[in-house]
Amino acid sequence: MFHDPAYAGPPPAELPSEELVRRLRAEETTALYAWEPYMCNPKLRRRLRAVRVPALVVWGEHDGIAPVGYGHAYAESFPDARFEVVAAAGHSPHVEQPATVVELIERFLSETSSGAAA
Amino acid sequence: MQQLWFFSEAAYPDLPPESEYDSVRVTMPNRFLDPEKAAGWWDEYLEEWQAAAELGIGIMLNEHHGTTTCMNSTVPISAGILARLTRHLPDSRILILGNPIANRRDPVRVAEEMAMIDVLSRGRLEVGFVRGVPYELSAMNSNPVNMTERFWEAHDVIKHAWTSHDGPVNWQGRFFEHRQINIWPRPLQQPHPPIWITAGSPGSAAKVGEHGYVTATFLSGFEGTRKIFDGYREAYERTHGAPAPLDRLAYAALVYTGETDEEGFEGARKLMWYISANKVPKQFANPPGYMAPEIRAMAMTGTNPYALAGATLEQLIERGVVFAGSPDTVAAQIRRFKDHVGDFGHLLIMGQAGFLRKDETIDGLRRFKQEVLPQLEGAPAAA
Repeated sequence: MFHDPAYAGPPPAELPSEELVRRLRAEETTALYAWEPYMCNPKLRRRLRAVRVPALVVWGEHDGIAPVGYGHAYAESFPDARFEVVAAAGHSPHVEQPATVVELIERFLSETSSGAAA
Repeated sequence: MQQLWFFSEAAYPDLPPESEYDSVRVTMPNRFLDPEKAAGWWDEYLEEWQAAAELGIGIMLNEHHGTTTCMNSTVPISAGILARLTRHLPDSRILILGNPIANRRDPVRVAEEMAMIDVLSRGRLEVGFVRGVPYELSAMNSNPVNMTERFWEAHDVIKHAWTSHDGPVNWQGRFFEHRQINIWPRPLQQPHPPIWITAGSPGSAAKVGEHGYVTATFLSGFEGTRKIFDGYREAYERTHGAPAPLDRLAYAALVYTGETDEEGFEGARKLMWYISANKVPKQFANPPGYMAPEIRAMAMTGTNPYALAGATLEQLIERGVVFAGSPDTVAAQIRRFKDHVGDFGHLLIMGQAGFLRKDETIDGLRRFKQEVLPQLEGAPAAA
């Protein structure tokens, strides 16, 4: 999930019991909605070719849930996409490297907007 | 009257060194199974069940998936085979405990399978339903959330299929939809084969008691078993207005009866393979929704008082998980157990595991039937 284990927080045994139970209830909700198909929409990839605007796909270099190659394949499914890999980040680069992610988005918006204006 | 059942998980024990694998369940590559060896083990297992039936002991089968601990991945097949292998024994019973119906997509298919075995066996089948272990949920795409609700609706669909005889019926439920349910053949036993449901807690046992089915608990020892049986007894009496008959309660233990105490302990140590080899994958052991969040939290933060791994044989005997020794010793252990949990009508003898071979297994069963059972039923032991 995270490149830096410190982001994972304390192990379950060190959490207050109410907080642990709250997180486990949230896991149940995730399982209720995302068990099958498992954490994905199998129809998504073929829909991406209908996107008519430039797209930016940002991925954590150390994503241990959906590896970089997976993200790259999704990016290639757009007619016009840029794929950016964020170093020192796992599955949530916006959490671990927010400044980098913001910079990538701002640059993308700036370059694509100027291109559109032209 | 104590009803005995012989239970084996039909394991594949020829494993590589433990250091070479993470888990015996889910992730163990099946290249480690030699199909020729597996066929040899199956020959022994089928012969053991046949021998049990010849001794007047019921046959009990279960089902698991993706694990070295149990090669019985499709219990209707093995039950059907044994139904025909024991057709010359019209009083022998075959118990499936059980069908993991919350994981099965099509409960009508389960109803058909069970009806077919009931016909093939000429009405000797007892049908068990189980929720199944947590490890097998992801491989079966079975959502652990609402699993109990899904289990009970599958049970309702199966009973609907078994008991509908006037042409096709439909089912429109929360989890299952089915049109034109009209199973051929229908069960031989009417209205349907006896139903068993396993219970791991007083609450789940209570629901089984309300239905009046047989409930079984596995390796739950003195305290766990008493709580589960008491939960069943209270619910049964509240619902049916009379104390639960003894034939509504079943307990499964690892059991080995030797000529002497030492021979019995040696056999039991081989049975303990079932516990010692059970290296399990942590990531599959506690899925969200399988247990209430509060219980999951306890499992993640505390020690499980019912954990068996690491216990010695003596500790397992002391806890009532294993009954082992000479016939007199085993009888005394079971009497002590019953003094604490109350009497129960069915003893499920897990009498084979690991490398305990066929002859040893059958010898242990024979000694139990001939020398322990009479003591439990109050008669003098056979000479």
